[in-house]
Amino acid sequence: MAKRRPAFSPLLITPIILIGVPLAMLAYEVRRTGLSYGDVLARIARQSQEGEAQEVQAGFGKAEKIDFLGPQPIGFPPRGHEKPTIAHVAIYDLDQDGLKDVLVCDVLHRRVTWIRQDPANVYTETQIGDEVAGPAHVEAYDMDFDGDLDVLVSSMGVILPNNDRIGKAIIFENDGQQNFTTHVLAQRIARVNDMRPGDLDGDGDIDIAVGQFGYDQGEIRWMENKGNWHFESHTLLNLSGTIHTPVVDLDNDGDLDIVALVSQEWEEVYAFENDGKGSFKTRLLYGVADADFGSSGIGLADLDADGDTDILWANGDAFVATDYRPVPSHGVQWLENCGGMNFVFHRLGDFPGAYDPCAADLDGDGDLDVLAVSGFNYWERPGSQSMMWWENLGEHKFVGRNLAEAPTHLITCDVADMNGDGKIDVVTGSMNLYPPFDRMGRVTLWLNTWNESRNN
Amino acid sequence: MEREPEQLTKRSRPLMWAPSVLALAMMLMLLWLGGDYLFERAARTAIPALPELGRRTAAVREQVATADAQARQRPRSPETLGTLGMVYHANALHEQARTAYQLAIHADPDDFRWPYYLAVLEITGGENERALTFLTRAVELNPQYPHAWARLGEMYFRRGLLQEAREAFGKTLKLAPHHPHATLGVARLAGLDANWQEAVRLLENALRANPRFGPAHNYLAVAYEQLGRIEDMRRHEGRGVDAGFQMDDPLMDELYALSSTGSILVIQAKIVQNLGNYERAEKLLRRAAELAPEDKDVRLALGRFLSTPGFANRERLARAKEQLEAGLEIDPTYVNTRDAYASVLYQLGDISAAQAQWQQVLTEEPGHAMALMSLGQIYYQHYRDYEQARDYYRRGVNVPPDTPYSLGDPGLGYHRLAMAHWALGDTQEALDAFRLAVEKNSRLSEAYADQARLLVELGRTDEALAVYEQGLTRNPDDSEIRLALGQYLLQAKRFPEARAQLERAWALRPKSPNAALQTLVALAFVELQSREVDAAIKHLRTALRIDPNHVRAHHYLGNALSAKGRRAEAIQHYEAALRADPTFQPAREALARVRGE
Repeated sequence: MAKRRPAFSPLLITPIILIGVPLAMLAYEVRRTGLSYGDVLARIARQSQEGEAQEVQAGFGKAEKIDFLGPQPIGFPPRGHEKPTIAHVAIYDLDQDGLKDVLVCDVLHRRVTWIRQDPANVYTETQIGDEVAGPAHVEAYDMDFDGDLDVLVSSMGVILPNNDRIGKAIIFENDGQQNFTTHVLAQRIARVNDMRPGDLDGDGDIDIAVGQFGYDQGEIRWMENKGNWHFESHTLLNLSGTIHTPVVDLDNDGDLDIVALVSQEWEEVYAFENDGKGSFKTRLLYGVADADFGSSGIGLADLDADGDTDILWANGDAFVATDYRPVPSHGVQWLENCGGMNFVFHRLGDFPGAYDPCAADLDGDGDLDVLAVSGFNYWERPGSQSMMWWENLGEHKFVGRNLAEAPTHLITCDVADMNGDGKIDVVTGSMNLYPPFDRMGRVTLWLNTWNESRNN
Repeated sequence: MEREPEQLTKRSRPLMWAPSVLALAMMLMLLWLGGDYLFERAARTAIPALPELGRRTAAVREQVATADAQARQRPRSPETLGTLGMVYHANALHEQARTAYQLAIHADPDDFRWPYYLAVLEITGGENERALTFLTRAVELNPQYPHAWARLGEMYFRRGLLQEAREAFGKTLKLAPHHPHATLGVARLAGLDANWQEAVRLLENALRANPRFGPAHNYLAVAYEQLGRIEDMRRHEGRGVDAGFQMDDPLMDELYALSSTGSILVIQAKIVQNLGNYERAEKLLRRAAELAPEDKDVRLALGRFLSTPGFANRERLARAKEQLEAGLEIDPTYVNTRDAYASVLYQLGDISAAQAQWQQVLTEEPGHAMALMSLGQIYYQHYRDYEQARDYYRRGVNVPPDTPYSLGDPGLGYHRLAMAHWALGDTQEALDAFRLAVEKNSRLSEAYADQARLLVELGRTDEALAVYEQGLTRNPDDSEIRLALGQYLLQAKRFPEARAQLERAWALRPKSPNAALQTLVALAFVELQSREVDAAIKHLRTALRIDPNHVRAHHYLGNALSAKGRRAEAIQHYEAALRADPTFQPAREALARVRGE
C-alpha cells in the first residue's frame, strides 16, 4: 500500500497564502502605523466608500450660514467723526415695566446709559448716574431690597493698558423713579473690570464679587456688605488680568461660589468655593499653558442640561500685543462641569477675536446654543465674521455657523426675548478702536426671525 | 504496463510542480501588490481633505496644494505627512494640521518632531491633556531638546504637579543653563515655597541674559513686593511686554518659516520683536512682504519695523519709505500708513513733506493725537513757533483716551506742552503741565529734570530738589534724573554730592550716547574742581571715545593735561576743540595761555 502523502498539497497551501499574506500585511501595517487592527480595517473600508477624489470640505465643525437675525441700531447715533466705544451691554427691565431695556457702558462719553424700551419696540437712550471713567461692566440688582434695580458699575478709569490705580467700584442707587445716587464703594484701586452681586456670606444682604484687571497688578476680591452702602474688602487672589467674576452655585451645595477668568499671562479659570459663610477655598479649574491665549470672557450656563453649571470661555483678546491683529488660536470653548469641581475642556471652534460668549436657545429647539461676537478681526477681508453661533446638536456636539459680518468690532453681547415673540434676540455693542471704520456700529438690536427664515 | 503510470508520474512531477510554484509565487506577488495598493489607498484616504481655501491668498493655496499632492503621492512617508502638518499649522489650518501630524506619528513613531509640533498645536488650542500626552512622548523620543522640557515643565506647573515641574525645568536648565522660561518656572516654584530671595536671584539672572523677557519682570515685581522692597518692585512693574511666553524655539522657527499667510507672519514677527529678536522679526516680515505684496497691513508692519526708533539708519529708513509708499498706493486713505510714512519722512529730515503728510492725516482723522503732537514738534523744534506748537500739543493731549488715535503716552504729551508753555514764558502753566506729565507717566525722567530746571530758573531751588527727589524715589535706577541732579549740584558748587550722583548715573549706564557724554564730562569737571586730575583725564578719554569731536571734552582734557604739565598734549586737545567749534572762546584763550602768547 502506497504511503500517504503529507497534506501540504497546493490546494492546501493556496488558501493558507490567501489568508496568511493579507493577515501578515495587516499585522505589518498595524505595527508600522501604531493603529489598531480595527482602525486599519476601518481606513480600508472608508477608502472604498469615498474613493480617491480630493474633495473640498467646508472647514472643521462649520456649516452653512442661516440668516435669522435682523440688525437695527438702537440708542444714540454716532456723531461726526466719533468712533463708538462700547465696553458692555446688558439686558434688564430697569424700570420694571415689563419691557426689556438695555444698559450700556459708553467708554467714549464716560457714561453709563439706559436704552429704555417704551412703548414696545421703541428705544430711547439716556445717561444714568454721574460720569464714569472707563466703564467696563454694568449689572442691575436690587442691592438695598427697596424693590427697584440699582446699577453696579465697574470703572477701569482707562480701558486701554494702564497700570495706574485708577479703578473704582461704583453703585448707582435707584430711587424707584430711575433717578440715581452715586456710591463709590472703592477707589484708587487697580482697574475694576467686573462687579457681581450675591449674598456671599449668607447673612441676608447682598455682597459683591469684584474682578480687577489692573495691568501688571490686579486682584479678585469680595466686598462684604456692612450696611448703609459700606463694604469691607476681602482679597481672594492677587493676579493681574481678571476679566469676569460671575457668582453662581457651582457645586450645587446651596451657597454662591465665584468663578473668575484671569487672562494676561495666566489664562486660567478659577473657582472660589464658598463654605456659605464667606470663607472661600481657591480652586484652579483649568489653565491653558499658552500665555498668548488671549482670554476675553466667560459666561455661565447648563450647556449640557445635566443640572449643573458649565462655563463658556472665549479667547480673542488682541488689544496691544499684536496691534489689534487676531491670533490664529482665538476661539470659543466650554468647561463641562463633571461634579466635584472637576471640569473637562471642550473646544467649540476657532473664531478670530472672539468675545463675550453666551448661551441661548437661538433656534428654539429646546437646547442651549452658544453665541459669541468678535472684537478683532481682519474686517477688510471678505467673510470675516463679527458674530457666530454654535448650534447644539446634542450629545456634546456643536456645529459653528456664521451669523454676521457687519457691524464690525463687536465686543459685547447679551441675549433675551426683547419683543416678546418667544424667540431669543441679541443686543451687541461695538468698540471701534482700529480701522476700518466703514461698517461701524454702536448698540445693535438683532431680532430673531428663526421660523420665518427657515420657512423661507 | 503497471509501472508506466508511475514512471510517467515520476517523470512529469517536476513539470507539474513548476507551474504550481510559479502560480504560487505570482499569487503571493499579486497579493502583496494588491495589499500594498489597498494600504496605500487607505493611507491616502486618511490624509485630510483640502479645506476651503477660496479666501486665502494664491501663495497659501499653492503651498497647501503642493504639500497635499506630495503627501498623497507618498502617503506613508512620515516626512511628507509631517511637512503637510507643518504647512497646515503654519497657515492656521489647525484641524488639518492635527490630522496630518497624527498620520506622521503613525508613519514614524520614533521621530520626536511630530508629537512636539502636535503638542504645541494642542497647547495653543487649550487642550492640555492631549498636549501633555504628546509632549511626554516628544521628550521620551528626544530628551536633548530643552524647549520640549520647558513646555512640559510649564504644563506640569499649571496642573499643580510641582515635583514633576521641578524635574522638567531642571532638565531644561541642564541642557540650556540660561533658558528664560525654565528659570522663570524655577523662580515661580521658589515663590510657592515663599523663598522669595531665591526667586529674585533666579529672575535677576534671567533678565541679565534676556532683559526683554516680560514675564520675568512681572514676577520679579511680585517677588520684590513680597520682600517689601518697593523701590525694586517699581523698577520692574509695567516692564513686561504684553505678550510673549513664546520661546526662541528653533523647531517653531522652522514651522513659521513655512507660513505663507502674511497676517500670521506679521503677528509672529511682532511677537519675536517683543522678545528682542529683531533679526528674526525682519526675516518674517520680509517673507510676508514677498508673499503678500498687496497686503497694506504687511507693508505697514515692515515699514514700521524698519523705522523703529533707535534701530533705524538712513538706509533702513529709505527702505521703510519704499514699503510705506507701496502701502499708500494700495490704500491712500489708510491713516496708519500715512502717519508712519510722515514719521519716516521726518526721520529722514524732509520736514515739510512730513508736515504735509501729518496735515493730511488730520483731514481724515481730526482726533489723531500722534499727528497733532508731531506737528507740534515740527513747529517747536524747527520753526521755533511756540504758539503754534502749543496749540497742536494742546489739541493732542485733549484727544480723549480709549479712542483709536489717542496718545499712547499722555505723560509725554503733557511734557511737550509744558516745554511750549515754558518757551512762551507761561511758567505757571508749564509747571502745571509738568506735574500732569509725571502724574500720567511716573517714569518720564525728562519731565522731572525739566520741571526741576524750570524751578531752579525761577529761584525755587528747594522745590526743584523736591522734584528730583520725587523722580528718584519713583525711579531709583534712572540715570538721566541723576545726571540732571548732578548737573544742578555742580552749578551749586556742591561737588561731593554732585560726584555721588554723577558716579551713580554713570554706573547705571545712561540710555543714550548723549547722556553718557554729558555724565562723563560733568564728572570730569567735578574731578578737576577737586584736583583729581588723573580721574578727570580717564573720564574725558572715555568721552572722546564716544564722540571724538566733543568740544568741551577736548577743552577740559587740555586743561587737565596742562595741569599735569603735559603742554604739547594739552595744545593738541585745545586745537581739536577749536577744529570742532572755531567759535569756542574758552579753548582759544586757554591755547593762547599755554602757548604763552
